Amino acid sequence: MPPFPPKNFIPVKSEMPGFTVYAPDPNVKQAAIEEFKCPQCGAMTAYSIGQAAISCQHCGFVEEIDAQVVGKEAARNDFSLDNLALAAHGWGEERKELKCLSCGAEIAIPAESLVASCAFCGSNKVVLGVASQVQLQPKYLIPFKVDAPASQKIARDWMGKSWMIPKKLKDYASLQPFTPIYIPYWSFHAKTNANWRAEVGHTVSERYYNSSTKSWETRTKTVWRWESGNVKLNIDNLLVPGTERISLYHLEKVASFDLNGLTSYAPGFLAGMQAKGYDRALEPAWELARGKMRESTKSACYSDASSSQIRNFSMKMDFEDENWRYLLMPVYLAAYQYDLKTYQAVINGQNGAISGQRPVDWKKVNLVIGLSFLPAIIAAIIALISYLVNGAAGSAGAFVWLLLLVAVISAFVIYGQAKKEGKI
Amino acid sequence: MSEQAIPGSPLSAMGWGSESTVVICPRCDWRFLGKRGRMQQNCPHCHQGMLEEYAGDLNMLADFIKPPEIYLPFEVPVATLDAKLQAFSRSIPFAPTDLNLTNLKQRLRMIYIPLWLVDSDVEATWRAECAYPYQVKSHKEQLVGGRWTTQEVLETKLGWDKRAGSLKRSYQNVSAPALEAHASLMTALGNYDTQRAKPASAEILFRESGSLPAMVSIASRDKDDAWPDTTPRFQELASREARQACAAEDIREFAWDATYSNQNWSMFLLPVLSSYYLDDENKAQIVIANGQSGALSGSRRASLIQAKKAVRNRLIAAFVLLSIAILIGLLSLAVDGIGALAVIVLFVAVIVGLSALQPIPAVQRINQT
Repeated sequence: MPPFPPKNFIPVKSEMPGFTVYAPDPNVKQAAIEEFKCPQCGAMTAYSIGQAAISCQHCGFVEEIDAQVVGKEAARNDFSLDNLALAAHGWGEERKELKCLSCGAEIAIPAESLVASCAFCGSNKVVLGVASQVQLQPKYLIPFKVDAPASQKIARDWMGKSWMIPKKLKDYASLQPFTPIYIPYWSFHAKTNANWRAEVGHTVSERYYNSSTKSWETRTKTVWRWESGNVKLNIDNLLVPGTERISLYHLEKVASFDLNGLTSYAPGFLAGMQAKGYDRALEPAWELARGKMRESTKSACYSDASSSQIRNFSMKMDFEDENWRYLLMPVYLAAYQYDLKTYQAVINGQNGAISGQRPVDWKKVNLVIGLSFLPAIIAAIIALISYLVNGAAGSAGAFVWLLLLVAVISAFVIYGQAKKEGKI
Repeated sequence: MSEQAIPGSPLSAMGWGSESTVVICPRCDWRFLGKRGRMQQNCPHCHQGMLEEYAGDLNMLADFIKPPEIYLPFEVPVATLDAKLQAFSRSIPFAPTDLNLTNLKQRLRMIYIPLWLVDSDVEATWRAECAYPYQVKSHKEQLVGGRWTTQEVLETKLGWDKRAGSLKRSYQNVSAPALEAHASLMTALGNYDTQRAKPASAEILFRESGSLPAMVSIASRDKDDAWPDTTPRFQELASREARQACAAEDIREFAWDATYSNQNWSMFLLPVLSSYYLDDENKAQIVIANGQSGALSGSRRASLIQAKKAVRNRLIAAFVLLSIAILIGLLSLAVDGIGALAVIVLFVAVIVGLSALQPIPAVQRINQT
């Protein structure tokens, strides 16, 4: 039998004579700081992506991390009122000032940062949350798989792919290091149960007598009838970024994480990295997720109808078995300045998917748009000459209109793409 | 069987009074406590051996005989018991001639079978997971006219939380089987309503009510053997109280480290009615009934002799019918219109003849099960 009373248990009221009762202390302080020092040479150690272990760059010492890959079986939490109240507070004020255990220096830690490095002695520290937020301390993460050189190559390739970006930026990209950082994500699961009702249209053919032509003809018409149905969806592992500091658009574009790689949290994974606590609280994140779930369920209801022509659609839906996880996901972040403007780019640290803003060389874009009209202009001149010589433009006139149409469409597409490059 | 009063008998010291004695069945080795001079001659358990007075040192039985503390009285109404015995005897096709209500009733004997009862002080430390209600927030959504409306819903769930603690309690009357055959007996007899238990004494148990007094079966497992069976029961009681102590809705994964002291052993006696019938080989087949509810169970043996008699009778009947059919057939040569009757009688003869194949396999099947 383990020691009694168990560690971090405190006496609570007993309702039965002869019994004492102990419960986990809700105010227990977890280790505030974990420092990573090489046991061989005393130099600082950090997580090595290539070795998937903690390593010392000074003497080559390697230490495996004691963590288990749990995948999608990772434990979930429900939306208890306690959890919601805790999550509403965000990351704690209590962690703002910490004393370095190595040199004794006072370190100021940003409220949402999980990792700190002492500016005086350089030691790496992983800073855990405080007791009242036990539920909201990260319990699972996906370790980095893409190392720094690989992320550089991905960034270079991505920059090189677009002809719209300024030429000098391609060289600039290879110089800017991407920062590996663990970003908070909320993962949501729920079952939706929806009852829908709508008028569904079916196209039917009918024969009718056309009195003007005095003949029988066929025409199509839409027949509307009411339909209803029930749709149940099991929506699992819907990821919502737990931070508002990075573009939701780009984080969602790279959120193709394979959750089979979820690993139980160990501070070692964060050693020498950057990691961020959430600043988008649970409820706002859940509201975003619910919106997506609603739309997925609505789409499923539309698919459930016997035709794609639908009007007067209404539905009622219940959420069941809602639960969530708080995860740390690996991404590389780069924020670079170009032409006095700041641009962000994000790389998925597990699979290398990339999304970001790229500055657009509008001169180049405008030139290309202008050039797309050139064939139409030439054809118009030819048609004009033909008209003056022969008195009729003939098929050349039609060709001009066609080229003009192509040019306008191309201009819209190119312009849309160029705008998208800079989307935040 | 010689029966002499033994002044200062160890049985008195064991709480069984001066009128009690110990007898043993040499055939099944079951030992019984009974009232001196007012005892059945044959064994109420196997019904085949003649009871003999226990010749050994009674002090050696000290770990098997403890004072009676509570008992369940014989309560099954005579009419209920008769109906069940009757139903049992009729449920066996080709039953031995000895199996009938009169014989079963006449041979009925009353026995009390023992359960150990233990009182003990317990000190322990424990750990468990306790369930507490908590509220979760859920949502209902509605889309009408292209606009979503959301309604928050609070639902109550049970959540499991770790608890630990210590206890210092005294638990009374924790029971454990005292007979090796306890499990099979209970399967046969069904449940007893232990809430109807009454305080027991030798005088009450051996009281006569028109027939010979009941006998009390002596434990075949001593308290050291029985003790391991009581600890899960102590743990169950402690777990139940731990749930109350924690004011929890439910409890699971209860584990403890317990030390026991001040143990006191006594007996809880359950009423059993035992009878028998003789099979083809004159071997006693036991029928037992729960003395409280009347639930009855017994060895089901059909009689091969009865089956053979049935075969013989059916074959004779088939032969007679066949002869009549032949006779009618011959007559039909002279008398018109009776040919069909001959065919019908022949058909009946065949059916009766075929039915003679049934009794012996039926008996074999019953006796195998």
